[in-house]
Amino acid sequence: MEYLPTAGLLPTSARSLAPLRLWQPASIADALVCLQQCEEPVLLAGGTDLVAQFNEGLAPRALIDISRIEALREMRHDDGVLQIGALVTHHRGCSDAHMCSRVPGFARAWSRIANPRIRSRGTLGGNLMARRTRYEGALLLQALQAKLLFSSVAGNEQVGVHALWNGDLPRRALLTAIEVDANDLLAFDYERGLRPLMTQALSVWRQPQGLQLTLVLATEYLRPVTLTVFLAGLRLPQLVLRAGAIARDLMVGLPSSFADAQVTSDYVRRAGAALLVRQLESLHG
Amino acid sequence: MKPPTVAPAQLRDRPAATPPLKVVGHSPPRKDALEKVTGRAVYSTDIVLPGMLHAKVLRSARAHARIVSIDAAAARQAPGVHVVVTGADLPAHIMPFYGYFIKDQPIVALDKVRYIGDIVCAVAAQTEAAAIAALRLVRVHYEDLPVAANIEQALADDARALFDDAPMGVVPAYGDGASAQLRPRKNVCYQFNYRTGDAAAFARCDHVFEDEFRFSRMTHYHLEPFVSVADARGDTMQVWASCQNPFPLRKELARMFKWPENRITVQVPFVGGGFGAKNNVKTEAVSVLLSMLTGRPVRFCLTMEEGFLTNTQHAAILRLKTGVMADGRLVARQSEILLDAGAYSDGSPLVAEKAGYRIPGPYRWEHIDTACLCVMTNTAPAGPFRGFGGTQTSWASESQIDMIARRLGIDPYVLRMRNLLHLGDPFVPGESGIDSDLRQGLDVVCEEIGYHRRTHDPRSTLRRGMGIAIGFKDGGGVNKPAQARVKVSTSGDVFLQCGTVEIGQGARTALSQITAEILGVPLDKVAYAPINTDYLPFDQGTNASSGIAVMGQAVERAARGVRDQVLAFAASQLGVEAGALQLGNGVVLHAGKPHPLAPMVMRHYGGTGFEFSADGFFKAASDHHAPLEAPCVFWEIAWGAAEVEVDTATGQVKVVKLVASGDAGRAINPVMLKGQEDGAAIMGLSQALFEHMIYDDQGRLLNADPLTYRVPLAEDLPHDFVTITQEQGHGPGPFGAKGAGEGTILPIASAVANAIHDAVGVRITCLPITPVRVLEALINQQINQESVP
Amino acid sequence: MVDAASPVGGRSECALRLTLNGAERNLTVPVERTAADLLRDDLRLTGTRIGCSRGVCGACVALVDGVPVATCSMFAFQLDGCSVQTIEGLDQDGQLHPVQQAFVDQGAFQCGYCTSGMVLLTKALLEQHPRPDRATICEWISSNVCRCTGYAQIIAAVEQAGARLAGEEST
Repeated sequence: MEYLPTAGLLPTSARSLAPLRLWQPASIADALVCLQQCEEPVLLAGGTDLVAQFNEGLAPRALIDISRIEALREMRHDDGVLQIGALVTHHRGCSDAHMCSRVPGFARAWSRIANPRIRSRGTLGGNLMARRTRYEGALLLQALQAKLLFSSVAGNEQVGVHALWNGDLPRRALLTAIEVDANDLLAFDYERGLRPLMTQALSVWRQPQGLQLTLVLATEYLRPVTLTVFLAGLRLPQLVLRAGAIARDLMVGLPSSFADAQVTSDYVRRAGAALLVRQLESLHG
Repeated sequence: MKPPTVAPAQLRDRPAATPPLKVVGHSPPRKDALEKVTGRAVYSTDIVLPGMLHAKVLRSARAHARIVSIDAAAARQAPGVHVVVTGADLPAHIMPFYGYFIKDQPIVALDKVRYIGDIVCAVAAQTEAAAIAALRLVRVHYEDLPVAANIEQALADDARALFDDAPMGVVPAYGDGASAQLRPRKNVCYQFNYRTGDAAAFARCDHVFEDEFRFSRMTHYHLEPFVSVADARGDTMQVWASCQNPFPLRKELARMFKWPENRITVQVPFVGGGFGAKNNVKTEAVSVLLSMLTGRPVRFCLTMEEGFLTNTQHAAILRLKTGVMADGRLVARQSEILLDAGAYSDGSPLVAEKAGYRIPGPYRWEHIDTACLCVMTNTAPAGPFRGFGGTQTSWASESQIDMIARRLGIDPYVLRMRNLLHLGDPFVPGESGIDSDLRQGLDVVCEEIGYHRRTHDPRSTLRRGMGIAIGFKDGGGVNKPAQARVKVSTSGDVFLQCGTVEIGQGARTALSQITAEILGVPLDKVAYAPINTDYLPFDQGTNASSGIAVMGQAVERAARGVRDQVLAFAASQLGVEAGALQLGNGVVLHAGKPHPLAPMVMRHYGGTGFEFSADGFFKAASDHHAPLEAPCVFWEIAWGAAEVEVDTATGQVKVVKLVASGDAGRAINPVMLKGQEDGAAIMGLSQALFEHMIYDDQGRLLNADPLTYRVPLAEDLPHDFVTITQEQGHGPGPFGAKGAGEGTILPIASAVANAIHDAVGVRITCLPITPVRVLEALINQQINQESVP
Repeated sequence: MVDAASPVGGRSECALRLTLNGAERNLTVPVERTAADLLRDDLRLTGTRIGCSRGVCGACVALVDGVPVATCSMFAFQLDGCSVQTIEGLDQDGQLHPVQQAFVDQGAFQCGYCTSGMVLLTKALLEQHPRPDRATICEWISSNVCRCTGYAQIIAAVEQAGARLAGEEST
């Protein structure tokens, strides 16, 4: 429903939209011109989230359908750096041969988000740009330390995934691709058994003097929080031996404000630690 | 994720029938099968009339506020708008309030709004878009009032009253031991009381246990929205509505709009799920009013989000004080049940009656003392929801029974066996006898789950346990009359006419099966009439699992009546005794020889044909000794057993195996019945583990949309899910049938809680049983254990 | 605001060419029209149902190029060039599709409101996974909501339909 401060709640929907004007650019360059020149443009990829936004009161006048831009569907890999076009669907992306061989943990996680119907149509870019805490794309990519590549008439820009949440996104720009540098990525695991209460993505990175562990946690209502620890002198097979201590140390960093109507921060700390131990054990196995 | 195993329909103890039944007890395809699998089924959402306008409403975003002013001038001028209605625009001659026992809910808000979602302004326009655009121009000035967002806040001394003046309300007559009051105290719209025996019984008890339980609130989540189309031009009123009780709806509209009932027609196409939500007025008052004011048909269809704000299940606090002897004999129970009725009374007084009545469970007591209060809060109105108070009471009662057993060192199964009523025992003095063998039923689920063979491994992180529970409610409604008509044409085609609405439960098919059985015809010879209040006999509503046990008896009588008519006619034509004749498919059999019916009719009535027709009526006889003024028609009983695996590190509970079993007396259509038992059990499981409406302490619904309100999906099925239909044969309905459809929702939550306690020794008394609650309980248990020297 | 003379153009209507239940259709649709409303309101194919209007419940699912899609979450113009199958296009000359027949035989529906979407979802599932295991069935069926059945009989119907389509069981 749409909230009108001077009146109340309005049950808006796609059926209550005023007439829209549609642009269907065939290239990124054309799309950027549309973005620059249209009044309050809204981008359309698969569209699976847009209808929810209409229910919440979004009433655009201009719709820019980018689904014809084939360049946004490319998947590239170059020297350990993966580039996933914003229009790559979950289904296609997670079954891509190179993804599966280079980042199998992420491919596996990606193959389980949402449901088969959504995965066949929803795009990674759409998932991210919806900026809903309940969607899982942002959490996974945050753990992968991914970069979001934007283009606008002003030029190209790269931002981290956290920019989705702090509003620091380039204006009138098009998300063209998501970039993951997997060169130092040693392991990735996604634990979603407690969803929608909480989920967590674990990534382990090679560092010059040891390992970096990154754990990204999110709940249905809370934005992802990233916890990182550097483990000097450790190698991947040794993680499982120190799993309990690592989990405790890492979870200490969870802010006590990380709580919502369904979970307390205390719960997240305890359950998250237990899940992290299991994740570390599964990496070993 | 381990996929679930699902078992086919299982029947137990089927009673023999002489002669063997040909239609009843079999599972022919549903009569609505073809329409539903081909998409040809018509629902109220599909109704379109020429010139139809679209209604939309503006709703309050404040939980409790006075309406200081509404400026709708700009809205009235907006393009495509035909009428704008605020409280000030309601015609003076109409009665703007509706409700069940208490008429307290206005068509649109008058002086104040009482919950987030309360309707403030209604518009009818050419299109939905035009209506929304117009509403966007409305300006409302509110003055906030203190919010009572839950039971505790509403009952506090300094709580603001939701209703300053007493709305019009009635208290029905009650029999022995039962009574009720309107507005016994501030923010309580109704209180039901039941008492039997002597409070001195507590003094005789070896132990008195006092426990409090909290029950959550769900939304019905019927996939077809609330919707109606009204055409109130001229002096007839036609309403198409997704409605479970078209006749009471007609009566309510007649009263509100001062319209003769015989000039109101309510039609109900297929209903895409009701579960209790779609009773009495929901969208109909708005669509009728706007149609009257515009002279055009008006469609009013809610979004799912609006549906969440229209009708809900009752959250509840249940405080049970139970006195027992050391050997486990139950003696006395005093209960205080507080139902969160939301901002308008809706069906709450009825739910209070039933919750207050069912809290003793299927056990023998010497003394029962119950008070059940409907507490008004600034949240969405609560009303009928599958289980109807029995869900709340089974949760509390079956949890406490287990707790008492553990405290006494008695096996929970043994404690139940020791105290359960026997077949035929009156539930309470003046009541009808229990019509299931409760012990037999309990053994069925215990055997299936292996309750007596369960083991425990206290060293494992994943700990298993089992729990049992008995869900219990009276079924068939109270004092409920049912009428039906069956007609037979000369070709032997059968017309079944009754007001039971097909909401998915299979009423059309099952009642047709009963008719077909009695008339000796194949099922496809029976046509079930569309629901139209002009042509059907009156019915009070599709509720209380009454379709088979109450309407079924009316249908049975009508079918027998028409059969007797046909046979009497044939007897006179053939010159024999009617008793020597049997009815077959379009023929009458005399000593095995078939005599076609059509020629006999033609000889007597001529070539234009004839229809035989008979009515059937059923109502439980009134009896002032029965607490609810009529003995209960049947007892809806279901047994549940759960095996859980508790992850002691995260508190997550996996249901490894769920067994749900109801006694249907006799299953009219086993496959269809299994579907109802499955669906109810999964609804119960959902409530047990995760599904609930999350209201904050300001009356805001946090998960008010389809994405965040979590309903069960296929992946939520227990690994092993078994429903067993028992056919103990003691039902009063046709062929020994009882009602079903609500039974298996009742025992699930307590069975799961009991299983968790069996596994890890912690007791959760608050729904839903989330991992957070379980882990917290485990940690507290560890702290308590560590502090013991 | 980009005007009509701008190089990339903007329009308020789209010409739509699609194959609908096997028949070629040429339509003109307003940009903002959803696929579900096109089917239900403009084409009077009311077998596609609207439940949540958010793409969650799946009652509005139709097959677009064989893929199950929530039509409430699509614009009509996105169907351009596509082959669309709604529930009305499933039975042939009064003969039910094996998926429909299996739903009937297993009692896999009650109120019927989710049924159109579930049947088409099942058809797509079986085309992708001809003999799906129970885990795959559960995963796919979790795409849609049913409030009535508790899913057990739906799962049984999917299995039976799969067996029949594979010729392993006679109807």
